[in-house]
Formats: sequence, structure tokens, C-alpha cells
Amino acid sequence: MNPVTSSEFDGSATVPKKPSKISKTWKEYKKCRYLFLLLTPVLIWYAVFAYAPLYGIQLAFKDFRIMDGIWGSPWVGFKHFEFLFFHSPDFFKILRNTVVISFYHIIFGFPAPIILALLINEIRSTKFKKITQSLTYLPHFFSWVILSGILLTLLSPSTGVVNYLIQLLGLEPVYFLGDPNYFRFTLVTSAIWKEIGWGTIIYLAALSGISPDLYEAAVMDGASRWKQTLKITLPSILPVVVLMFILRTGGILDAGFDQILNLYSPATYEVADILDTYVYRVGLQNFQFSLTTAVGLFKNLVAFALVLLTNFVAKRLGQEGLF
Amino acid sequence: MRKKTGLTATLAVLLTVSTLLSGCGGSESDEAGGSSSDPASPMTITIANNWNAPEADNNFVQKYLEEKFDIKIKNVKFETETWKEQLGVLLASGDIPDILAVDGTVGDMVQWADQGVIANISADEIKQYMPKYTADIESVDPEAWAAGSYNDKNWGVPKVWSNGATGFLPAYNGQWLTAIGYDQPPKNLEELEDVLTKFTFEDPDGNGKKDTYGMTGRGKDAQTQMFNSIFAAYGVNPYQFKLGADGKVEYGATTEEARSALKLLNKWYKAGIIDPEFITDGNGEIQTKFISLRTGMFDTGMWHHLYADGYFGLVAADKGIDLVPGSPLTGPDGNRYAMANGALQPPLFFGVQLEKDDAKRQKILELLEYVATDDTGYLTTLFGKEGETYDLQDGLPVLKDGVNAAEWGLSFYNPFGGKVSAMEKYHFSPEKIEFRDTYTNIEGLNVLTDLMQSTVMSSKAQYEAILTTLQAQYYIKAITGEADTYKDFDDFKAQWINSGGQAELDEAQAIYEARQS
Amino acid sequence: MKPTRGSRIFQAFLILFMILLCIVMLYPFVHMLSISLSTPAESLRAGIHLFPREVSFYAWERVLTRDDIWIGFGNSVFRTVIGTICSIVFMSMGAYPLSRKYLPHRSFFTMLIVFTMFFSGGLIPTYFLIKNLGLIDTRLVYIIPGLISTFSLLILRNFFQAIPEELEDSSKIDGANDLQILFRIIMPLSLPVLATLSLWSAVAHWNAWFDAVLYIQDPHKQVLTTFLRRVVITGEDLSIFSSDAQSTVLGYAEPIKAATLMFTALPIIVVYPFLQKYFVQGTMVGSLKG
Repeated sequence: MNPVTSSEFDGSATVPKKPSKISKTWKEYKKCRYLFLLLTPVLIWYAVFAYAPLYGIQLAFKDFRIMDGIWGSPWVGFKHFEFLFFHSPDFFKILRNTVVISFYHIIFGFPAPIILALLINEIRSTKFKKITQSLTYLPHFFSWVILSGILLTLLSPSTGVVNYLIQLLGLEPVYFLGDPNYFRFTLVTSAIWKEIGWGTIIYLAALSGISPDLYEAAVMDGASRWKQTLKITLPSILPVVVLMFILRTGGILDAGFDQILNLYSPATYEVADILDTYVYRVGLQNFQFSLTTAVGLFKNLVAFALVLLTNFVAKRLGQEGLF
Repeated sequence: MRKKTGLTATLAVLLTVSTLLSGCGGSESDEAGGSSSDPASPMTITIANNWNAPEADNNFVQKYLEEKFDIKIKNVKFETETWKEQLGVLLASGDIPDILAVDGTVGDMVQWADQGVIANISADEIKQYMPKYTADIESVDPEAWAAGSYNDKNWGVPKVWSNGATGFLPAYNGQWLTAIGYDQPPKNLEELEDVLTKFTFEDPDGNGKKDTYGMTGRGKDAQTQMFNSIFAAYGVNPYQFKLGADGKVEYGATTEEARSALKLLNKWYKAGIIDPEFITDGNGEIQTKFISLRTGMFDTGMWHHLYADGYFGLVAADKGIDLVPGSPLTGPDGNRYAMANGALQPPLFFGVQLEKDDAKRQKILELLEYVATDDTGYLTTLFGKEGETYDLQDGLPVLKDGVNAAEWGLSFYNPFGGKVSAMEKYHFSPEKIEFRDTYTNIEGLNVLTDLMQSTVMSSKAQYEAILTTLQAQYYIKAITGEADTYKDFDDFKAQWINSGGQAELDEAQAIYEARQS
Repeated sequence: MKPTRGSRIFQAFLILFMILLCIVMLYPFVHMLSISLSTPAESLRAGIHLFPREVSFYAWERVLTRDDIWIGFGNSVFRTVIGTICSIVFMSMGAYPLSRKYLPHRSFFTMLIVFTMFFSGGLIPTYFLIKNLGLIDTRLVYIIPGLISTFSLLILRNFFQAIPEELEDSSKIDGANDLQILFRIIMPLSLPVLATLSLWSAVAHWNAWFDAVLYIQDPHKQVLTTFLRRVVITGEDLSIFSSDAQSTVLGYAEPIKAATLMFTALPIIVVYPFLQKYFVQGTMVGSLKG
């Protein structure tokens, strides 16, 4: 990378007091030359693997014709977006499902691993701590294709163990996967079950970075365990939590395609059909590269806007943002 | 202001690299479809298949065909699940295989034909070069060419699967039937209701617990099959187009027959003889429940699924359950009906470059005729070499121990394996054929197939996803009683018509009339 | 420090809760293991599977005697180990400069990277790119295009950022440059997060399948997940699993699926305890004092 020539070019065109500006920039860059030595290969990788293929986005505004390639396919403007927003009758129901389910995932699914990490951190016995850590992340390794079969068995209203326990409590059995009133609850709960342990890993890493000195000092001051958690532990991991939260908001339109595809049925379509499952069913008909690109673009624009927004809010609240 | 300089620098570099690389990508599609017919060297035929990928190139079957026809074969191996993505990138980069033996639907066919990916071939030429094969398929279904015709042209070599024409059969737990005092399976809806009721309430497995149901249904996926035997008894399948009494094309789901069937199913559901979990049951659950002695009847199997080595027959035998195939049920009109998928399948496609390459196209047709209808060609491409990879036992080829089919390239080069009726003798033992004939050649049986089976309908491509969702939702609700079969049925029907159903009906009517003339 | 009565009760409840949680988490694993060791009828029994009532090792025998599974295993190990190491080094190279507040145009560079999390060109341009770079049918295609996960890079950057600057300053006075600081001070101090990201990267590599399907035709370069998918989702390979009468294999469909799955999941599960020691509290403290 060659910042000097380019900055000279740019500077001469726009800035009158160029020499000082350029040399100042140049000096700054030179001072950080080792940093740029590290950064440059990474930026090149991004240029090649992330930026170069971006021309494919134009497919969202084209009717993709295989034989003509991406560049040669005819422009159709906003046709695919129009189809999505105005011609698919259930679009707003689907969008609402997507947002609602995703919202539940964030409200309940996001804090769950943080709480679990804090609890694991409270365990005194190191051995037991390790065992708990290792066991809780097991479900992460099974795909939804597999887990859906297992869930069907466990949640069966007549033979499932979960309903057996519910009936022991004297309650009516619940058809978790067939009853639209319970389906979203089932989605969120089973997603937490699958990912909570795996999610703790990053928070445990953050927790392990807290200096024991801080706790020792707090104990000297007579702070209770609960106080320590509030005053030391939480503030220490807050930057990670904020970072994870900002990144998570970007996924607002990802409500769990794999999971829903494997668990839903016509009985629960009206509460469970999301953007991705809808496109999957509609797109089944043919090579829908254009429609898929359009939906992807729509989702990404929303996600990007949300991430910018959360980032802004986080910074306003005095937290470290993404950028 | 100061900041700008560095930004421009970086952006400039990024853009340069990006355009350089993307430029290469764009120009790629120019070199489309290399078709070379240099007479000196043998011609190269590219064959793509999304099943049975051979382990290595130049395997036994490949070399056999290369020698036999003086050609070179290039293998394009697709994954069964992801072949569409693979084919997509391949086509976009300009390499179209000559033979496309993939699981494409008629919808895909239309798309590919419109985009100029696949070749149209005259039916006469196929008949000329593949006389035995065309005679074979036309004997199975005279409409065999229908699936491949679009815009008055023929888009491939027709494929039929004669099994598809046989209907789905109800099947019962034999021990349970005996326990409730039936010495043969029920023949009509009334008897079936009695059997299901007794299966539910008379403790047929004798364990003293009320833990059984009459049957469950395929509510989770493939709803065409959900309670198909009950719908069929009324002479309808909710997912098929049919001819109404007035000579007009109707859609099964919105007919009065379907309404009556729903009414009966709702009555059964309320009576508790249908497993309420049918909503989330797929075929796997149906199989599991049957062999776990939870249900005593199912109707999602065809004859070969019920036979001793079939999907249901095998595990039932393993579990010691006497699986009794029933006969299709007689309905209120006194006739017997069975639902069937139909024999028609989307055709075998060719890459567009073959339109202009007469020599290669004819060579391929000759090769296909050979592997489909010549005994040696058929056996070699599917089973390998006699004595080395397979033995003929009573005329049936049986693979030898330790033979790795992928290593020998078996099945990959023959897109017609199991799809030629003259070759059935190599797949089915006489006992199996007898079993089939007993349960499918039933006098007075009406087989219900879709009037628009494997027919190109542009309205269907447009509305199908929306309409089937609508239908599946209402049907489940109607059976469980969440929606009624009076006003709610009318509402559903109106909604179906308004959401694109009318367009489908109009198009189906036009196609039907064009066929009649 | 003496535990109070309240804290002892808390510990008791905590342990009880964790035991219940572990049981719930352990179930799918036990279930699959039990199915993999079952006879056909037992594998299709409705209900809870803790231990097979009728044991059969047939499925495991079938799985472990396949050549291609071991080829896939080798390739998966290759891409996981090499891929993870390369990723961690490469992402550290990117994260460190971006974590330094004095880097000129820092937020612009960060933005440039964040942007790529949301916008991508899609399947076809990426395929052209890989093709033009000559990566089709090479094992490098497993390593290079996936070198960076922007998500992980950002997390790494934030952790680097949190390391007190005094550490760095004192080394700079001793004449160390940024390179030396990264590899000698920052990375050793960040072991917990590096362990986390390695685990993430390793699991992603181990489970990845789409790149293998799209870019690799040569069966000797295929990875384990390709076979897993064939067996579990398509059931394709069941017929060529063995030459036993096809019906035997068909009957064992579920146990074979389960055994393949366990075979794929086990290695990565076994690795975790070795990384666990980095999550133990207080790694920072030693280096700060010393």
C-alpha cells in the first residue's frame, strides 16, 4: 500500500496548505509503520475476498440470466423488491413474525449465557466448574435436523418426558410444537437450550480477565458476594456485553432459519413463517438468485442501519462502540 | 480534511483490486458451452448427475462406455442436496454439461429453456435413435411426452417411473386386526372407522393401557399424502387437479368431495381415533409409531414400501409385526379409489450446445438407448461386471460382498436405472412382482392422478407457494376443529380463488381443452 | 475467607441447578449414542433413549471401516488445525492496529471491515473469484477465503483495547516495536480470548461443508462433513455403505446416521477440556505484577 502518492494527489486537488497537511499525515503513518505492516495484508484480504465480489449485489436489481452472466443480465429496477413488498400477500405477516421471534431471541436468548457465565463463575469447586462448562455446550454440536427429531420425542404431548413432568404437577399436557400459542415459546426455549453453554465461552473469557486484586480489595471493604458481582464483575464484562449486543442487533431479521424449517408445520405457519423460510419455499420453484439477492440486500440494509444506531446509542451512553 | 487523504488512498487501492478481480469474473461467461467435434480425436461427452458420484475418474463403467462408443467421458459430480447451487455456478461460468441427469422439476425445465441453458430435441429424432426405449415408455404412459413439452418443443428424453402409477395402499397391524376380530382388512370407510375405533379403545396390544390410536397422518411435510386414503375414498386428492362432473377442471382442495372428507376426518379427530400429533408427524414418525405399537394403520406407503424389503415392511418384520396391506377403500359413491403420484417424470435434459452438434447428439441418443434397453448395457452400467462385482442369482443381479459401487462408477452413467419397464426383471424377484400384482391390479380400482401431472403451468410457478401454504393451514385446522367445514370452508375456497387459484384453474382448463382437441 | 451461611445455601442451590442443567444438556448426546448402538427396531422405538435395550455394534463397524470417512477425517483435521492457526495469527495482525487509538484513520478502517459483515456479493462472484485465483480443487480453498471472521476480529480488537496501555509504554521505552509488542506482550496476555476464538474457528472449520461441496471435486480432498451430510440428510450413501444385502443397511439407517454423527462430533468435543485451562480466572494478574 502506498499512502504517500495518493495523499499527495488528493491534497493538491483540495487543500491549499498542502505541504504541512501531507507531511503531517505522512509522519503519522510513518510513526505507525509497523502497525500498517500488520494491517496491510489484512486489508488486501478484505479487498480481494470481501470487496471484489460485491458487484454481485446488482443482481438484486436485475433478472439473472445464466447465459448472460451477472453483467449481461437485464436491469429490472426494483421489480424483486416490489414483488416482495407488494405482491406477496403475506409479506407483512411474515416480516412481523420475523421481527417478533427475533425480538424474543434477543430479550431472552441474549442475557441467558451472560447469566449462566456469572453463575458458573460463582461455583467454588474448580472441578465442578469445569464439568459444568464442558457439558452445557454439548447441544451446540448437533444440527437442527438432528435436534428436531429429538425435540419431537421429548415434547410429545402424550409420550414426551416434558409433558409427563407437566402432568405430574397436575397440569394439562401442552402440544409445544403443534399449538401456535406455544410455538414461539418453544422456538426460543429450545434455541436457548442449544446455544446457552456455547454462548458463555466468550463471557467466561472476559471474566477470566478480571484481576483477583479487585475482589480482594472489595472483600477487605466488606462487600457481599452480590455487591461484588454488581460493582466489579458486571462492569468488567460490560464492554464485551455491549459489543456482543451491537453485533447481535444486526441479526434482527435472522430469526433462525434452520431451526424453524425443521420444527414448523402448517399448523404453526401463521406464527412461525419468517422471511427466510418464505423465500425458501417461494424460491424452490427455480433459480431465484435475483430474488434471494434482493431479500439479502433488504435484510442487510436493515441490519446495517440497526448496528449503526445501537453503536451510536452505546457511545452516547459512554460505552466503547464498534467504531 | 486531513483525514481524507488516507481514506482516498485506501479506497483507491481497494477499488483497483476489486475491479481487477471482478473484471475477470464478468468476462468469464463469454466462453459459453465448448462443443468440439474434431473428427480425429474421439468426442468428449460431459455427463452430470447428482446421484451415485463415482469415486474416481476413468472407472470401470466409464472406460467400458468410452471403448464401446469411441468417446471420452467427463464426469461432473454433483451433491444430491446442493446440486442446484453447484449447477448454478457451473452454468454461470459457461460450462454446460452435455447430459444433465439431475433432479430438476418441470419448473426448472421452463426456467432453463427460457434462459437458453438446455437443448430442445425433436421427438422424432429421439424415436428414431431410441426406438425400443420410446416404445417402452409409451407403453407405461401414452402421455409420456407431456412432461417435456413446453412452447411446442420437446426439451429432453422423457422419463417414466411405472411404480408411480400405482396407488398408495392402506396397511394394518395384522395382530391388532385379529385382536379386534377382523380376519381381513376393512374394505370401506364404515369398516375403517370401526377398526380405528377398536384400535383406539379396545387395547389391541393387550398391555392394559389406553396408549394406542387408530392412525396418524402426514401433517408435517408432503401433505399430498396426509390421510390420502380417506380423501381418495371420496374420489379426490386435495392437491390434484381433476375433471369435475360438468367437464370443467377443478382443484381437489376446493371440491365438495374434499369438504365431506374433512367433515369425516374432523369427526374422527374429535372421537380421538386419530393421533392428535399428526400435525407434526412426517413419514419417519409414521414408521416409528407403527412399529412402536402406537398406531395400527397408515396409508403413506406404496406397494414396494410394504413389501418385506421396503421402508415399512422391513422394520415391521424386524419387530415381529404382521404388516397386512389393505385394499383401497370404497367410498360413499360405491367406487374404489387410490391416490397415485403418476408415472410421468421430468425428462432427461441436454445442454444447449447439443442443439447445433448433430453428431454428438445422435451419439448420445445411441448411448442412452444402449444403457436403457440392451441387457448387457443395462447390467454393466448399473451392476458392473458379472462374476466380479455381481452375480446373477435366479436372474437377479446381486452385488458381491465388498464391492464399492462408487469405485466402479455404478449407476452414475445410467439415468434410466429402475425406470425401464422391460428391465424390471433385474430388480424385482417373481415373488415381488406377484406381491405387486396382488395389491395393485385390483378390479374396479380407480387410480387418482393429477390431471396436470408434470405439466408446465406458469401460473403454478407464480402462485403455488402461497396457495399450498393457505391450503395446508386450513386443512389442518378443519381436521382439528379449529375451523369448521361450512362457512370456513367457503371462506378458504374464496381466498384460494382470489390468491391466484383462479389463474391456475383457467390455465389448467386451457391446457386440458388443448389436449382434447 | 470463611463462607457465610447464606453463601453456603447459595452454593448448594447453585450446584443443584447446575446438575439439573447438565442433565438437560447431556441428553441429546446420550440419545444419539444410544441410537448408534441400537438394533433397527430399537432405534425406531418411540420414547426416551438412554441405553439401547438391544445392543448392536453393526453401525459403528460400518462407519469405521469406510475408507472415505478416514480420508475426510484427515482433511478435516488438516483444515481445522492449519486454518485455525492461520486465522488467529492473521486476525491478531488486523485486530492489534485497530485497537491502538493512535492509529491514523482508525475508525475508517474499522468501518471498512464492519461493512463487510453486512454486504457480500453472493455465490456466483465468489465462485469466479476462487476460480480466477486458481483455488478450485486445492486444499488452500479451505484456508484462505475463510482466514478472517470479522465478528471474531472485532471481538479480538476490543479485548486488545482493554489491555492497559502502561504495559505497552514500558516496553516501548525499552525499544520494542509494535510487532514485538503484539507477539510478546499483547497475545500472551490475551490467552483466554485467543482460546475462545480458536475454539470458534476450529468448530467453524470442522463443521464447514459448503466450500467443500462447491469448490472441491476430487474425493481425496473432501472433508468429513460432506460424508456426514450425505449420510444424515440425504441417506444417499446407505446403499453403497456395504455390499450386505441392501435391506440390512436400510434397516440400520438410523443407527448409521447416529454413529456417523457421533464420529464427527466427538473429536471437537474432546478438544474443549484442553482449552479450558485458559478460562481460569486471573491470567492477567501474574504478568501485571511481574
